[in-house]
Amino acid sequence: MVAFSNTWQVPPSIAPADPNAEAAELILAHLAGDTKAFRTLVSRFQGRLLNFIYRMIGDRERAEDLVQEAFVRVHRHLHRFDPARKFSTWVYTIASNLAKNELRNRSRSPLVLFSSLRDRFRDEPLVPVQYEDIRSRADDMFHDRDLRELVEFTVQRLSPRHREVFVLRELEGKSYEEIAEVMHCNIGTVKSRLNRARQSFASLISPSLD
Amino acid sequence: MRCQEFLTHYSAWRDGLEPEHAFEMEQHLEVCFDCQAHHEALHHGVSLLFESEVELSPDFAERLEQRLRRSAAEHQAPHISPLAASAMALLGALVVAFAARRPSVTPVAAEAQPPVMAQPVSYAAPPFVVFTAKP
Repeated sequence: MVAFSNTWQVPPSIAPADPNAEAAELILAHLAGDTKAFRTLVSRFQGRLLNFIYRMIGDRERAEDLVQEAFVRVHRHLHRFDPARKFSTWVYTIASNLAKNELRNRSRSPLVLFSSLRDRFRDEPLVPVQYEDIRSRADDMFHDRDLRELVEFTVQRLSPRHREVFVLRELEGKSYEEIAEVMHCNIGTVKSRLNRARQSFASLISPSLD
Repeated sequence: MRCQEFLTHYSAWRDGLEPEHAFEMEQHLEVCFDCQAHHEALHHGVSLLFESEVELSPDFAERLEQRLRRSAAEHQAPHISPLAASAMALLGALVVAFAARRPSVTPVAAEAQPPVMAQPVSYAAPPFVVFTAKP
C-alpha cells in the first residue's frame, strides 16, 4: 500500500539554517571592509541561482554567465540594500529579471545556441556512462538518464510563467509571499499559476513514467 | 470528492494549506487510480529534477573575481551623471544665448562715428607748430 502524504520538504542541501540572517551579517561585514564576506555570500547562493536560471532558460553555460551578472549587480548596489528585505528575494528577483530578458532576447532572434547543443551531447562520446556502475544494468542506467532528460525537457515545455513559479516552489522551496515578490504579482496569482503549472507538469510527465 | 475537485485543491494540499480538505483528499487518493498517477508523476518528476541538478564550472569563482574587478574599475573612472550632464548642457546653451544677444559694434555704427583728426596748435617759440588730437 502506497502511503500518500502531502508532506513537502525542501532537501537539507538547499535549506540552510537561516540564509537571510547570515546574508545580512555578511553584507554588513562587506560594507565594513571585510574582503572575504562577499565571496562567502556568493558561495551561499551561487549553486541555487545557477539551477534556478538553468531551469528557466535551459542553457547551462549561459545560466552561469547570468549568475555572474547577477552577482556583479548585487556587488554594485549592495550599499543600497534594505536590510528589512530578505536578501534571497532580492537576488532571486535580479536573477529572474536576467532570465526573462534572456528569454525575451531569444524570442526576438530565435537562434539555436551551439552551447545548448554541446551540453546536450557533451557526455555521449567521451564518458561510457553505461559501464560506470557495475551494480546497475546498462539499460536501467539509460532508462534513468532518459527519464532525467525527459523531466528537464518537460520543465522547458511549461510556459515561462508556469516554469518560473514551478521552479521557485518545487525546486527552490520559496514561500508564496517570496514568489509573489520575485514575480511581481499577488499571492492569489501565485496559487493559481502554481496549480496550473503542477497539473501541466504531471500531465506531460505521467505517460512516460508508466 | 470528485477528481475535478481533487485537482482544484491539489496544489494547496501539496503545500500543506487548506487542512480542512486534507482528510477528503487522502481518502480520494486511496481509491482513485488516476489521481494517484497524477500525484506520483509530480512527486517522481520533481525527485528526478533534483537528481539532475547542474554544477558550477571549476573556474567560476576566478571568472567572477575578474568580472567584479572590471566592474569596479569601470565605476571608479570619472563618471558624469546624467543630471550633471544635463545641467552642463543647459549652462552652455545659456552662455551661447547670452553671447548672441549682447550688442556688438557693427561696421555701420563704426562708420557713423567721426574720425579723430589732428589739429595744429601754434606756439610763439620753436617748434612753432605741433599737432594734437581734437578733444
